[in-house]
Amino acid sequence: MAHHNQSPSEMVKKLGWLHKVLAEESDTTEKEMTDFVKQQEIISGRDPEISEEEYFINMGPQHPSTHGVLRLMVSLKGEIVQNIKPHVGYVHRGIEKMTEKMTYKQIIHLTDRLDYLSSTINNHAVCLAVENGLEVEIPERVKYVRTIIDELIRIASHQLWWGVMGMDLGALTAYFYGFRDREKVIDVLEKNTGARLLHSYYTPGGLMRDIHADFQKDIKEYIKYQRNLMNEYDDLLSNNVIFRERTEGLGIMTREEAIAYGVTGPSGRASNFACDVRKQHPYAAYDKADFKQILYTGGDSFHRYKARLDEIKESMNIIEQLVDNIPEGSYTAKMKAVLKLPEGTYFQRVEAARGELGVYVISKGDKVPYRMKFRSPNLSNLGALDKLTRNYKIADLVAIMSSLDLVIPDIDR
Amino acid sequence: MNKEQLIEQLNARIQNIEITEAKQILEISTAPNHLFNIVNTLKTDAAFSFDYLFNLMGVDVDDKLGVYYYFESTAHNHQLLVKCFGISRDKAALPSLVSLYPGVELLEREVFEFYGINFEGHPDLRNLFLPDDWNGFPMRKDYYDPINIVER
Amino acid sequence: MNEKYIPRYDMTGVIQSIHEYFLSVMPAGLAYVTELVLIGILFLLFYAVVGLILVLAERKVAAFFQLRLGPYRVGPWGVFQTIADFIKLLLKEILEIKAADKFLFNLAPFIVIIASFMAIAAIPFGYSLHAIDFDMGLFYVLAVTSVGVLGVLLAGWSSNNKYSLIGAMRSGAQIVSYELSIGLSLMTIVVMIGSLQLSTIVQSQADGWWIFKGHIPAVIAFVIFLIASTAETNRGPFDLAEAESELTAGFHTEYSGIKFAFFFLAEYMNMFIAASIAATVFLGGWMPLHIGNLEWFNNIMDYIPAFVWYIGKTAFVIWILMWFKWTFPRLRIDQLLTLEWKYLLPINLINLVLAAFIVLMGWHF
Repeated sequence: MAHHNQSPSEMVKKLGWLHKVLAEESDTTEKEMTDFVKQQEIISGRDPEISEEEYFINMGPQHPSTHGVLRLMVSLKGEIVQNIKPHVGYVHRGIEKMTEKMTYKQIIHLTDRLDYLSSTINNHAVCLAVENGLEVEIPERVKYVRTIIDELIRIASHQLWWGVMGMDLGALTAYFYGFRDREKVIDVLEKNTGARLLHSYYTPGGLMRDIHADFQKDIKEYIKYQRNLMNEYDDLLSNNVIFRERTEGLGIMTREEAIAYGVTGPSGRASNFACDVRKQHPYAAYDKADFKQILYTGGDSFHRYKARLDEIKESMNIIEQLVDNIPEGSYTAKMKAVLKLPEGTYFQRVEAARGELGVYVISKGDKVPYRMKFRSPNLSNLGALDKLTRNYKIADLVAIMSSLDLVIPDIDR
Repeated sequence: MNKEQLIEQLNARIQNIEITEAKQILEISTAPNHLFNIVNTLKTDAAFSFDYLFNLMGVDVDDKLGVYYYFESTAHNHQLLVKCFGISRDKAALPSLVSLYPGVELLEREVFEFYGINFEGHPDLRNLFLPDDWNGFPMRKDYYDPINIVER
Repeated sequence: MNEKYIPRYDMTGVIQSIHEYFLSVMPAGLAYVTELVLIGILFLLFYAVVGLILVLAERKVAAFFQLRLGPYRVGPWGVFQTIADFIKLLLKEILEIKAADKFLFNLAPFIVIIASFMAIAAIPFGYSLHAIDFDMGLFYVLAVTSVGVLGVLLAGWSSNNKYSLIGAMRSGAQIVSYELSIGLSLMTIVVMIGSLQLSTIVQSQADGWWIFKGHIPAVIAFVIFLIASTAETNRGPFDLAEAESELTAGFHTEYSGIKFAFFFLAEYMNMFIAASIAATVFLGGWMPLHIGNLEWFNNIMDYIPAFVWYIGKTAFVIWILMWFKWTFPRLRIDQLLTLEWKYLLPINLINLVLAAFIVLMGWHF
């Protein structure tokens, strides 16, 4: 049976769990056949239950502005979006299932592939969860370096998003500017970790290797370069009349909605939801740095945009405070060759570039986790998309989706 | 609100729960038939006001299906883990929390497809990641798929 | 105008002698037919060359704005890139859409390209370098270019694709609206000239271009014309009919190979025509830059051939249009219509009244 399905709730139930439960007991009944025909009619936009003007469009899985293989089934009346049903799972790799057969050190490499734009932050979450369970004290040096690299990755991620947001709104030039500057961060990281995208630089207990001799110098050079460019970002997009018209007052999310939908990260903070894990539940060296939690009350696309741009600046502040004070010492704590977490439930929440990432481990005392769950910020943010885009036009749907900054592999896991 | 106060309040205001104090987070266990009322109290009672559900995960521990709900209160800044076990494996069902936390819609669908737990009252319960015709519930510990899973 | 300005390098003699040669070797009717065919071939060549150059120019300009090099491999500085692209498009499979309305689906690209081809006939490239010099040439160009939208609508409708249909409907609404602005902004200048004939319009600018002579109304009209013609040619920030990030490719989603190339080429030719009209009406067409009675300056300017003036001005306007495209984000359809009906149209009407008042008082030069 086809994967897509839009219909009144009974029919969905029929095709959903009941279908599964009844699968062994009955063959295809006549009712199921009529349902199938009906479903096909709905897909082709000719359902008698749906009013004349309403029709469906499949945005994705191959669509320029879904940034990956997200598929949105958009119900439209003219150009007005009636509702959206997200269909995900096109890059589902069963990472949670795979972790049940892998040691903790191996899992680090899988987590890079979740939200590939905040790869080291994902590594960090797993490392912290494991270190929590083992109750090891990790060196201060490691904490500092991890914090700095996480913030660099956050900057790189936001730069890519900034460019892509411009592209989604039709300003292709912004895309290249964003990538130009992201390249500089990536270069700094490449020199240090050897990788450009999927770093796998952290390991439970510390880092894979010590930092490069030029690490601090490169970072200071980069920050000097980037500070001058923040005005350029404002000139090109933030202060552009058309850009403002396309984002201001659109896709408004109240604080209550943000909390109820679990929309975190800059998207949540634009709605005044103080959800910055770095501030609320400090980890690594974030308590050593003095930084603001970016909060806006607007809750529209523009404020989500603004929150991210401000976060780039705030990240640079954090890095500047820490980069000169990296303590001397070992780059890793003394760890056993085989890590066995004592029996129990552990979790660690960290602030990824798109929101709160959580790692939840149930251990039975083996070298592999009994169950590992990743709380994906993007999945929760996607959940709010339908609510945010109702009664807006297709063009606004693209803008609002872009302002939520979804990364699909993180949703699918 | 610190842990001791929270335990006190929980004992005073909510029945049918079992409180355990874990290292990271306070845990309470409950049965499926009490779940909805308890969560409703946790959310609406001003003493708790657990308005942010930051994680929902299905588990299959010791042959028991269960769902873990992680709550946080944005007002009081305290956290709570609600464990719900005692779900039958054949006719697994739990009340849906969509009416309280609209954001769990997708998360419950994920648990539904991986663990086969039917969330009653969910507006649109179908597979999230897997195809509609997928047989079995892959995250259950008794799931066996000789074709797609290679054991090492 | 009192007397005709004749540029230093006059092509009239050459054209006349060719005409006389044909008349001497064949009967009059046949001579005209031969000339028509010759001019047709010339225009086809011109069309192809302009298309190739514009596509390359667009890519280079885009690259300039986006800190890139642009095409660089095919030929020196990538000048043969478009030819390679064209060969690729020619060799590509032309997809048959099963559910499409085949006749209209195949017809649409031709309507679009013929509309732009017809418009080019009336453009004056130089003194007497005209295919046809209509009495109401400007009106003819406007009428013919707006036929192109029919092709876009047909393409969107016949593709049987919802993205295409949305794109086509947007395009329809957009072009119907902006047609008004184009017409009215040109009308502002026409009021001052008192003629729709393109050759007369150029001649009227012998003592200065209208953008300088026409006071503030001309400048306003020029800006409005630039905005409206960007919308008319479906280019960014008004490229809603294609809107890559929203509608994948809009009305030409289902087209491939050479049929897609037709749409692609027509877009650039429409831009060329819009720029030509802007250059002809506001910037003097092939007319050299003259400042009143400053004889020595005017004489120096006269040494530059008319055709070079024309191409230079057109290129300048095209560059501005490209600048728009690579700087601004895209508008939304309702914002686009608001801009036209609530801002451009009222400004235009007031501007027209102002221009008429200036003409009435005889304040224009």
